[in-house]
Amino acid sequence: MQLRLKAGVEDYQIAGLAALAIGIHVLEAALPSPLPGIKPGLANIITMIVYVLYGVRVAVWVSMLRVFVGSLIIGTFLSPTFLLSFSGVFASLLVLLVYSRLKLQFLSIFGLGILMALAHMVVQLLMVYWFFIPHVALLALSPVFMTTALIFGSLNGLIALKVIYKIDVDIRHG
Amino acid sequence: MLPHSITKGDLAVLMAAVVLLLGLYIQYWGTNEQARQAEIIVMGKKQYILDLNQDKRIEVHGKLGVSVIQIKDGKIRFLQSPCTGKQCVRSGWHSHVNALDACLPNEVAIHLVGANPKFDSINF
Repeated sequence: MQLRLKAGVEDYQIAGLAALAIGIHVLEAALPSPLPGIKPGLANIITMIVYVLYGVRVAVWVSMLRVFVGSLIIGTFLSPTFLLSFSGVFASLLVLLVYSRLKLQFLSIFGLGILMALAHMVVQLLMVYWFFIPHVALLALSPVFMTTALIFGSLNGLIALKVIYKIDVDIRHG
Repeated sequence: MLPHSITKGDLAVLMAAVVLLLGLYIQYWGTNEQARQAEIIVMGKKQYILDLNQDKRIEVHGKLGVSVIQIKDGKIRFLQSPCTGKQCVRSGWHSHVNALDACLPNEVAIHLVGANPKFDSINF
């Protein structure tokens, strides 16, 4: 018996959206950073927009594919960088899952973006502390990391909110 | 349907995050506790524990040679080290709890601790 895999409409959608996220992820890796671990996290904009348009399942797929394929392209697959990237995305997706399951409608994508960015950074810091640098000096840097997470999380949330609004208007007015 | 603009809940989250951040800054940057003692770690072993209130100059035998460490007025520094970069010497005086100064080529490190050290050991 032959096993046949057929790509459905959703598969193509996920692949296309993941390609977009991977593109942003790789481009972002080329940006200079003042401190390792500080970056805008623009790919999360894609995750949030995908969540609103296609639901949480597709958003999780797109995020996970981005982390795996992005690391393969950059060349960090299974390295410490990958471990941090993966755990950060895992944490932010957990926030997304809670948000969608509990139907926290009093928060818009802006608030969601902040929460996802903060969760991402907290878990990454803890991972670095547990596995790589178990010294209080690392925790002394945490205010800097958390501040950038808050700033970029807010900006990304705002961008996602604007984009979704634009898409919605475009859909309604043909 | 999801909200299409920033909600009150969003602003509440933002405010809460800012408050938590301020707490974090106060927690980690608010206190400048002066160190009481310095641990000198040589090739992975804690070799000396020195009081910072006694001015002193000691010679430590590391991997490459002799590092000279000076204690004066509650502060400590590398005076000399047989390394090429001399980052340890250039980093200057240290006096705060948990400050670290290290000469990696010579495998000599200084770790400042308070009256009651919070940690038994550090692994790298």
